[in-house]
Amino acid sequence: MKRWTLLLLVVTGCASQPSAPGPEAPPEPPAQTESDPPDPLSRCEAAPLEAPLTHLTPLQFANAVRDALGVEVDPTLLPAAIRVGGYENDGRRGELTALTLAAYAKAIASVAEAAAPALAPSCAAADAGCLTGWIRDIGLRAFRRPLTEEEVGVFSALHATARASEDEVTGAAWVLEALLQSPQFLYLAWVTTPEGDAERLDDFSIASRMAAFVWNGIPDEALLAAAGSGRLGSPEARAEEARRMLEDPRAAAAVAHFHDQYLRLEELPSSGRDTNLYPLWSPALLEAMREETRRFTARLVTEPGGTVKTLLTSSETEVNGPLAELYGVSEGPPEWWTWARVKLDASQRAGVLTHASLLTTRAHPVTTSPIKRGHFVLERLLCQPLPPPPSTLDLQLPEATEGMTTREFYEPTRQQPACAGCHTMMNPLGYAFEHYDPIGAWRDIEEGDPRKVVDSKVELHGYLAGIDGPLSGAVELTHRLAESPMVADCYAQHWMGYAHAQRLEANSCAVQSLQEGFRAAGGEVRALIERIVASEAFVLRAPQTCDGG
Amino acid sequence: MVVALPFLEWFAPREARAAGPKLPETLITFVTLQGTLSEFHFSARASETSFQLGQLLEPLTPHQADLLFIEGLRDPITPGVPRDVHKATPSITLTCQRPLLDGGEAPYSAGGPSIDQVLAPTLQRDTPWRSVELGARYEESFSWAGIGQPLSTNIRPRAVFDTLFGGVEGATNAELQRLQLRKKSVLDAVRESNAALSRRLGCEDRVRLERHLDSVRTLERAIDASAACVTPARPPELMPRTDEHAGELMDLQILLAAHIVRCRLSNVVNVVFPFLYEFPDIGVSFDHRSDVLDAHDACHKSAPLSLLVPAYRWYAEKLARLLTLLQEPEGEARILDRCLGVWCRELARGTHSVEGLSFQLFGGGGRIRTGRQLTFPNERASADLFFTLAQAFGAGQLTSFGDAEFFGGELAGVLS
Repeated sequence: MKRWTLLLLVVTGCASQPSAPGPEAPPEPPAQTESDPPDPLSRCEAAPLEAPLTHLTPLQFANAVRDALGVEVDPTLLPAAIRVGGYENDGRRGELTALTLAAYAKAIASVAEAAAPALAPSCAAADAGCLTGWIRDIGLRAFRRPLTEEEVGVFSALHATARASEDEVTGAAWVLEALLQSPQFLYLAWVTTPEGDAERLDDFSIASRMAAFVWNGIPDEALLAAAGSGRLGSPEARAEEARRMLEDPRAAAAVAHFHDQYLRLEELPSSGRDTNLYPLWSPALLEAMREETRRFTARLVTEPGGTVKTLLTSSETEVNGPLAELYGVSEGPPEWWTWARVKLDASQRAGVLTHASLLTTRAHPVTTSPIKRGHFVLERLLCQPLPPPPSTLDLQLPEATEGMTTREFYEPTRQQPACAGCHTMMNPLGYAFEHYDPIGAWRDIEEGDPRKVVDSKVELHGYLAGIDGPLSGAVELTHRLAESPMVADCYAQHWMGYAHAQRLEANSCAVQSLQEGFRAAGGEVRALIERIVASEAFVLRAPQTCDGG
Repeated sequence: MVVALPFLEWFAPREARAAGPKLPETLITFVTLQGTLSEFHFSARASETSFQLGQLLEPLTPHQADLLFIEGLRDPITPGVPRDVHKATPSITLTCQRPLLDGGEAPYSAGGPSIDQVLAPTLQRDTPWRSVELGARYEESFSWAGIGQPLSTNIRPRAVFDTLFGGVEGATNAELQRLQLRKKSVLDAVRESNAALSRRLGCEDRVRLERHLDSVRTLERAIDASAACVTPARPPELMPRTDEHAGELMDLQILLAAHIVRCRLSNVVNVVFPFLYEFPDIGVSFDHRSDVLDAHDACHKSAPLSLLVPAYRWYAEKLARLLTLLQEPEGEARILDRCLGVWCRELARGTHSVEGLSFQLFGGGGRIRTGRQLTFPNERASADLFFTLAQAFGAGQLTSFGDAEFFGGELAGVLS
């Protein structure tokens, strides 16, 4: 077990400079030696995780409206969720502000109008039971739990007010509007009962949490029925439900969306590539890049045996016309806009790190950024956020001279003592990707300049056994990363944080036990999702205490 | 996790304030990114009151008498902030607090409320919206309700218009009445049905839900307020996430800001400019140049001035536009006379320096000494200016603002 090795190197390497003031300095890692391997589970943090109230993200809202009422909403027209640490479901976002809520209210009013004609019950005016039955039924879908008598009363009264001035369909529209505007629809709120030092989620809360995680949406009838029968307290029942849910296309979309956030593809630039130097650059290409990675990552659960290794090494992908051109695929799709499954040249492409989307996100408009690419691998793949550069640092690099390669331009960052600590870690990882230009196309020379010959060979030191050593470039690097337990652990940690709508630390027992299981399962993504849902951590939370009452 | 309690009311009752010029009612913040080149702010400075604006601020010349130009403050927080400064400044510029690093994942969370949100609860009075944040391209906001509680910036003028002004084109009175009855009935049901859930939640969640219900109450108040004002034309829908329309879009937001103030829909309006890579409406583009990657890079390298000066000047043109709109008469005075605004920058210079920050205050209705330029010796912090602004609004009970370590009290020479 060598989980601390890299952390030690990074921190001591970077900490040789004056660190920034403030209480947020990186914690000292515990000293461990090879002869004294740590037993992670004995020293981990066993406290139950927090589970704060979160509001539905725009995509969750759209999925929920579709599944509860059968109406399509364009999530891009809703106020975008602020992403915290890259994830838009993070509980630190806070509540919906009044203006955001107003935008939702407007969307909800249109949804209610659109849904009411098809959903309105045909109840005789005197038949109160017919109407309350309808309210209970639609309320269960929207709130993901049975309505209380009190709630049924409130919505019946609202229906009566509407019907008094208008008609049956209007009455239904008002009720639908109120249901969707209720915090019980807009928020994921957990109802719990105390249990020792923790609180246990009730079955309907568990169902909601499962649907938010696995489908990025709301429970279907079967899941609500499972909750109603009180089965979801059992890990086996949850695992079984998770397996069923993973067969549904909603899971594939949710898994793709997780990776879009994990890989931070929201940072794909919308403009700012030089079309003189990169004539293939176009809005259609940009859109295709993100879509390629979505399709690729969805296959981790739609096809058997999808593992972290598939994610990082598979050269099988899907391309449309613009992407086929970028990747130099001769037998692309029959039409410019259709998608075709292809196998890319495995000596040039291996997994998601060599996708145009990621390579473009981590580049400048004219040149590549080995720093950004290396930093990404460290922070997102190895879970090693670097300590901040000293604020006194002179960020200016010497001017580029004629014919100088990007690698040569950035090399001084490894020479200056103040920068070297971190840049010796970041730069080699980034240099390995130098064969990909700022829009992700393969190149042997930069900008068509024969003096600028790409050199992606690097020698890695001080990372981990299995990653260290000489490398010919990105393809070899990504194969090594795919075998690294550290990468698998980091990936599992991100999934766990996403499932719990928060950033989780690696010292949590819940995280470490998931990591052990994930490695034991050969890094299989479906097994990982199942394991998260079945875990005790998923149904327990820390008790809430309010500061000052 | 600790949930912050709602703000204390910072202020003494309005009646208790000293006599003098009428207190301003409306706060406008105008935030731009990537610093400035303050050496081009003035072409001549003979004295506090005798000066001529330089290339960058020249568009503000017609409004010079309504402006107080401040140079030489500093932001002591940003230099201690990690790597990507632009992901940290949204949590610093208006809060003057050290950001919470949250494990190092940008963007960072603010360590306290921003000045606009400190003032908002009191300034709100009978307006429906506590504050309105307008911008383009990015939802990230410079406004924070409290520790780690960002507000989001609204980047679609048409959507904001529809929300604030009703967005009901050609509706008859009867139709409007029916719509209002519906909205009110629905919101009543939302609040009533909520009691059942609230009882079953943990106490942090209840506090959060209570804050949500505050927003629901805002929607209820807004139904009455929007009908009372002559509605401006509905803005067109523009692509909010590209540079191509950013200038046009910000013009719409500025127009909207002026109408929001005119109609008293909110007394706190924040106008936040996005970081632009190019400025298509003035023909400035940083693309296709091998020596300069983009505007950010151009600012860093402090060159070439032929591109930078027009780009920075563009912001002054936008502020001049807002000031022109606020000239509209209102009774004996102008709308501007009941406003107090401040143009803030995330950085002093594009090179990421935060020494020598420039601010321009505007309006104030006689509470601030407009028509002047003041330079401070770079030891006073931006927090001191925001504190002074709060004093101009009569916030007598506010004793400090921002990080206590760097707070130095009211700035002399700003208030009249």
